[in-house]
Amino acid sequence: MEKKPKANLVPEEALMKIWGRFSLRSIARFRSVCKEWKSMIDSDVFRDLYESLNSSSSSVSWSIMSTRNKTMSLEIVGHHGCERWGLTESLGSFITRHNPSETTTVRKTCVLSCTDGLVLLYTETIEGAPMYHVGTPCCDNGFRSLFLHISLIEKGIAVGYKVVWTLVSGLVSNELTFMIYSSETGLWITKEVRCLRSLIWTRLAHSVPLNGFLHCLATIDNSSVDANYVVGYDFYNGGGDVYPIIPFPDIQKFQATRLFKRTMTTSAGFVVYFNVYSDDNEGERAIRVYRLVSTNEHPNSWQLLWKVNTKGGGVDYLPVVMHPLNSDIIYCWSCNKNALVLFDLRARKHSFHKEEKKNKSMDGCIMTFTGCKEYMDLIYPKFVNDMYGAAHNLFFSQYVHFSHAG
Amino acid sequence: MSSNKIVLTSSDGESFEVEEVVARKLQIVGHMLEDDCVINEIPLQNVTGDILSMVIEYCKTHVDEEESEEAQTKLKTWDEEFMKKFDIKTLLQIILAANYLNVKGLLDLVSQTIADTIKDYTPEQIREVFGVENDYTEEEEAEVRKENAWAFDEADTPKP
Repeated sequence: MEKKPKANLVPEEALMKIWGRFSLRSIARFRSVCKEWKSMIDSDVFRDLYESLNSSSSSVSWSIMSTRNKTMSLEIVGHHGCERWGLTESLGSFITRHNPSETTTVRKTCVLSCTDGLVLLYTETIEGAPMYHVGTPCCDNGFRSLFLHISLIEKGIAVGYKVVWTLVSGLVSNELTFMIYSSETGLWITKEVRCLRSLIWTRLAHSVPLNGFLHCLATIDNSSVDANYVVGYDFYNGGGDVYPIIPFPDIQKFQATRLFKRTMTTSAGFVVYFNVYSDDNEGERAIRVYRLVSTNEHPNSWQLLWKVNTKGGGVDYLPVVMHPLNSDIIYCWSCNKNALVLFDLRARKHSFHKEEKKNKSMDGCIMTFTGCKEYMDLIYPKFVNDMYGAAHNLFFSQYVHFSHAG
Repeated sequence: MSSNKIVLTSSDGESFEVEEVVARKLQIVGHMLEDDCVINEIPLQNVTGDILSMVIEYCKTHVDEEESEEAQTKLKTWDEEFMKKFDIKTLLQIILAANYLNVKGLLDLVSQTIADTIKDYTPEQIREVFGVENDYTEEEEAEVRKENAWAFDEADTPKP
């Protein structure tokens, strides 16, 4: 491209230095200054610079979305309004306001899945017709009309996605059938995959998609424990016909004592599993956090990130999610206090956030709660009875850096 | 540390005699000194005297970067006060100079100050300050704005 000696007062290099300090909102607005600014803002050079300047920033807009109960609010906890990634409203409000159909009224909207900044939405028109949409709620023109379960991320921007519909012939089976839609081809294909042994597939609804993998939960049929295995399938790099199965860490102890409350979540490009263990007899109470570093069957698939003793507190804590970017921070729900507990595991600090109060998170974001207590009350019996609670869906805004493997 | 003096000359012929340690904060000078250590007068063609004097003021203050928290806080306060003196046009002159002379600390400081100053500007205001011409057609501009409509909500809605 030929450089015009135009009256661009400030050289590109210095301009990018300034932009690197903007919030996404300002950057988005300044794309309309002129064509040159737009092309510089959209360039890989700038994106890399922005990421390197802001990778330590934990102040990103993100939300915990409900996928459990279709009558409850979509967004249980939202973070927005932080300095750098300054969305003016929570992500959930972008979704709620969005009407994918221009001709009819929508009577129901729910989130089926979230991954890598994309949301799979189910909406129902007033006449009862179902619709599925994929999109990023805030930075897009709207939702493209189709659905997703898995997306592929390059440089923080979704470049393609696949929607996977999982079918099993029976609750106990060593076979899974995937119906896969690819955004690249626009076609649906069917794929059958075998496991080396039969598994119980009662928790398929809690599958966690990340970086092109779908992580399903399953149970080995001779155990009495709910969801003791993860099966990770790679939808992008030819996952093969055999599905590897990975046991959850400390599964023996878990099976022996059943004193765990568990959750599976995602953070900083990893699938994260954490549990709250409280044994009143032995007095041991601890939070253990693992991340999945390999999706092959191998003893060190899970890496222990944190083990923190919670001493007196923590008996009633339900593990909820890990911060989407900061692996030092987890969120639990305290039933006794009816509050979301933010744990900074590195600093060994925690804070309570109650629904009825105005909340600011530690990075200056505004936290909004909608029906959080109602939601937690609903899932609490499931934690107690089934041992496995929920894979809570996280949604966070785009332009987030992912350590994307492969 | 050497107390060797170096003379820096601006594009409009103004000369500043500074200690070598201060001059070395300008990396462009640092490189020249490494190439040939007998230089004691350096012409800087892209900077005017008034801007160069500000850059030198910054370098003098930052010549001893002490680690202690107290010293750091003091420097930070000084930086803030220093930046308050300038309007946006001058800040843009300083960033050009800091970029050309390669003064890293100052470049970071000025980038941040400019970013803070203009972050809520409208595209029209940006064009004026940066001397950029709007080369979009009306339709194209409307299209780009639509793509980023969320970023405009507040600016476009006049407050009652």
